[in-house]
Amino acid sequence: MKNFELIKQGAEAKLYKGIYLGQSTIAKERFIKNYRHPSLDTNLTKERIKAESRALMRCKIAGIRTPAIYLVDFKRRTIFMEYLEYSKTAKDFIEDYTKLGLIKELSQFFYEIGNLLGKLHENNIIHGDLTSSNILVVNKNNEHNYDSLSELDLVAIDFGLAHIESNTEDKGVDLYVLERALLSTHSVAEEIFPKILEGYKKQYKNGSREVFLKYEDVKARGRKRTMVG
Amino acid sequence: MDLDPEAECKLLLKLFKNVKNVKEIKDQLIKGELKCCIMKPTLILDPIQVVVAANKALVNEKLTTKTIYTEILFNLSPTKNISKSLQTFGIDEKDENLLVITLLKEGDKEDTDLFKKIDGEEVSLDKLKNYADMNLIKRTYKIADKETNVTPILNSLVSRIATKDFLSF
Repeated sequence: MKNFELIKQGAEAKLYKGIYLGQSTIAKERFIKNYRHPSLDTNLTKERIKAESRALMRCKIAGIRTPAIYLVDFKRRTIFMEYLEYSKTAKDFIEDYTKLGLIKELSQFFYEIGNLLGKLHENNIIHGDLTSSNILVVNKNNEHNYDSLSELDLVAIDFGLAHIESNTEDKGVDLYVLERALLSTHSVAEEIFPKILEGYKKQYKNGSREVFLKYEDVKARGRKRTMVG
Repeated sequence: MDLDPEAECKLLLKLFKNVKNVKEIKDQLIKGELKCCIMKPTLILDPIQVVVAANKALVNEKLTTKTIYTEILFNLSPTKNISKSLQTFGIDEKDENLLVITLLKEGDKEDTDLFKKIDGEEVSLDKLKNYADMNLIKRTYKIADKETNVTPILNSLVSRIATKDFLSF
């Protein structure tokens, strides 16, 4: 792609950064998998691009900020979306505070992350890959300053594995995946997670109880269900 | 304004106020005598809305409507109903302010004959948002306060335009 530079490569897609339609843009291209039959590959990719766009839109409508979508191009297997210049990942944000020994001051921040997750699940959006790298902390005034929580927005990203599902199983797994991700990334994870759950419960009043029960189940057995019998 | 390199053209937007011959222009537009797209500025908050809609029309292999110009109007609209889209975003005789969009291929010059036909006063495009009706925009695109409280409105608008062919709102 012209004027775009590769910034990340995952198992499913390549992320490019550049200027598109005069805007700072991320192009997420789901590249061709040569081991798949070409028509199956085309269809699967098309459905996944649709599912990702659908989840991004559903979030916006539910009151969760996600990147703007500029173009969905099935032919080039690419979603062109907003690149948030004045942002850092929640992962880096948490690590910066941890290094300064100021993690205690982030209670409200974790509570808000919990709120965001509660909103997702309340609207039956399963993210599928919740980690602290997939939540961005964005400065509201277009500057590189992340010191004041009131000037920051949370933006959820990477809905590549997202789907719509109302059952508690998937929601429980979503929380479990997040807990595991936090435990492997942040030394302070054990302080963080309960606060997230608190915010989740506050937001998702009519359902968090069932999800928590399911989450305990999932925790006891792992992410995959036993398929005996 | 720049579009996708694949589109091989640029977009030119001009805003006019107090236009006196809207009926005449509309008639010519319907006959296909004017190579442009003309819309109500009330529903356009920022040129990026038109850029995203036009870009999509040019990148797509097949059009849903008859011409590239009606396709831009159709793409701007959140509904899949063609005549309703053209009615909502296109001009009617009561309008006095017009937003005119033309496409320029590499090496093309501005179509001055076209703009001469418009009997009105050209206004800087920076003033576009002064003509926008925020409440009407929110109603037309079905954007609730719950959404605008956290997501910038332009984000909501362009994302709806980009995804409306396979999602419904």
